[in-house]
Amino acid sequence: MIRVNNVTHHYGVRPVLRDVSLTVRRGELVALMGPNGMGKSTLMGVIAGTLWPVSGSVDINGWRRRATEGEELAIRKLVLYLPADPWIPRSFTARQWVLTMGRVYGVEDARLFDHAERLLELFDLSKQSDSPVSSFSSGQKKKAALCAALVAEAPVMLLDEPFSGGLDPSGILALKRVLRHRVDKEDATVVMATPVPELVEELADRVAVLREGRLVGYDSVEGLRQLAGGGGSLDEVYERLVNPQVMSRIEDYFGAERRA
Amino acid sequence: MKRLTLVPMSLLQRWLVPPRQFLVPAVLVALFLTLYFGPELALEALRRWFHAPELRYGPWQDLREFQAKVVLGACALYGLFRIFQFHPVTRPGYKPWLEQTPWTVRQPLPLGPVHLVLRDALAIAGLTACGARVGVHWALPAALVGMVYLVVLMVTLLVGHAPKHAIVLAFGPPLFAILANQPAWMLAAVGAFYCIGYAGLRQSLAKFPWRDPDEVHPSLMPPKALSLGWPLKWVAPIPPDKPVPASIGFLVALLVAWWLLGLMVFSGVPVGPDPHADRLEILRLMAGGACCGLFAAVIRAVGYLVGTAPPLGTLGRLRTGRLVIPEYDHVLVAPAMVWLLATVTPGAAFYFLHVGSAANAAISVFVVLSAAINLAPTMAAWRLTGAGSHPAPAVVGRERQPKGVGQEA
Repeated sequence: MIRVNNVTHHYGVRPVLRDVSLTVRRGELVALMGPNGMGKSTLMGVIAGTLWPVSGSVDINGWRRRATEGEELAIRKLVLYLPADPWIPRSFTARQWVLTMGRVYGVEDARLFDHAERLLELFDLSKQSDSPVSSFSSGQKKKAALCAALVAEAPVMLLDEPFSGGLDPSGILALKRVLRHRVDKEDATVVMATPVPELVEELADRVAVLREGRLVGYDSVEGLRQLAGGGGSLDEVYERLVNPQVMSRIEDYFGAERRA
Repeated sequence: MKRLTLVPMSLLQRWLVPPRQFLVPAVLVALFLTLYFGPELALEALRRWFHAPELRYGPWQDLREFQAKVVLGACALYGLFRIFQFHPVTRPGYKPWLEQTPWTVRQPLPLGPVHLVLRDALAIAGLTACGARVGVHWALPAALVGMVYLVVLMVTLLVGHAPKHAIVLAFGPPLFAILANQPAWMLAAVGAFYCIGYAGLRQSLAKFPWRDPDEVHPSLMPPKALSLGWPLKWVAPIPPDKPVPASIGFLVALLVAWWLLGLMVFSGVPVGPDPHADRLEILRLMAGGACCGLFAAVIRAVGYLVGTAPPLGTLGRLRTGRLVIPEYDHVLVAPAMVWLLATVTPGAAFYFLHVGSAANAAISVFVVLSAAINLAPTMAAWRLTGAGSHPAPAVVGRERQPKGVGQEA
């Protein structure tokens, strides 16, 4: 379970997160949504421990982030963080990188080899798996990074924009299925930041919506509909929560066109 | 069954077949081979084509020297490559990534070991063989790889919270320079320093991710004193810079003197006494020392006085008749002592210790630098105002209270 307790963070004098609190249950897939620059990646970084909040704290399975060396190590064994722009050594091949990640997370060799092959096959990287990553397209790099993240079999996965970065439709489909499988069958906890409402509606158990660093909604898609006071697709609900003027602006735009 | 086949394969890959990322990039290997063998093959082809046996002499000698330089350059590059490619400090992106993982020092480093392993022996043996063909001493390639490796390792240990090992390693390069004409001894010295470096590397990696135990959140750090500017920086409630401990002062002086000695010996300056030296030599040394000492004294004085307006200028002193202001002027005693020591020490070392120029310079630098760094007053003690010289009001209040008052049970 992940518990974010009253986290506030700012870069210089610019506040990015303001008193954000939320809880992610075990075996739950939570999506973080919000406009660009509203604190999604910062919140992911705070949960992942790469950022140190000015105030507030993060607990994962009862251990506090950045409290003691022992607790931090215990958290790292559980948590895998995949940033939006993941680092992969350019000289490594996709297979090497996936195996390296599995070994760092202590996955047993036989299981690791088998799972790595299946993942590379799933993400259509088998043919390129022995080529250095430097020769990959951005989409292939993203796939290699996703394979490496999934092979670690971490019980808690923090994925910052996993569907972006040039991932093709088959990669998106594969990732959706794998994430849902990990949550439903393996009781994994997944937190992902994504700006795409369609993916969230299909995938997430709960959605956290950030606006100007504050949590304006944290519920299931149905719960957010009620909170926003109306039906419609998630992107309309999301816009009503984040940017209430957008619908009237759209109306104004087409109204002006009709009048002209 | 599957496991039985996979595990031995993994071990085989790990111990016998160098992993792909462990090898020097093919471009560099090709470049080395081209530079090493290319001219030789071309010259041999010319000799045979033109039936010119005289080509065997003059050009071949030049070629051997060139090939020796290529080998030594390759050794230096290999030493750099071994540490830059595998150390979390030197490889961009590696450290932030590793910080996110559950890696500990009990596991091998994910991208490969930083310490030298058996596979390095293959590369070094190859370079040694190439060097031996062209007259390079057998110990020199390995020593050069180790020297370059140790210099970079020293920097990574400083960053990686193993400063004691880094300081010991800093004594290595001058020793290697002194032993430059005895490659076998130089290799032995490199080996000894490598053991220290290896211990430091283990300690450093055990402390990964290298955070200070009393780390303060960046947003809660006090603003830098300099940012307030004079005179606010002296009166603002900002803790003064920590004074340099005397042991560090002596260590820095020793290190600088040792490096100077190494450089001078490497350049051919004699260490032992010069039998032709006379009294004029003492005067020359004292004059040189005085010039260098003046420089050191000015640096010391400037470190204290720059940015600080004196309480009374020269004109003010003349008009008031108070030419000496003890509480203020005692800051000038240390620079004067530094200058005096710099003037006297070279002559004294020459006269009493009978040492040569290189040793004389090293001794003098040690004495003068030790004095310049360690002589009182410390900056914090000398400051007339601010947190450096006056305790904070709360502390004053507590000191004035009798014992037990204001203390909670």
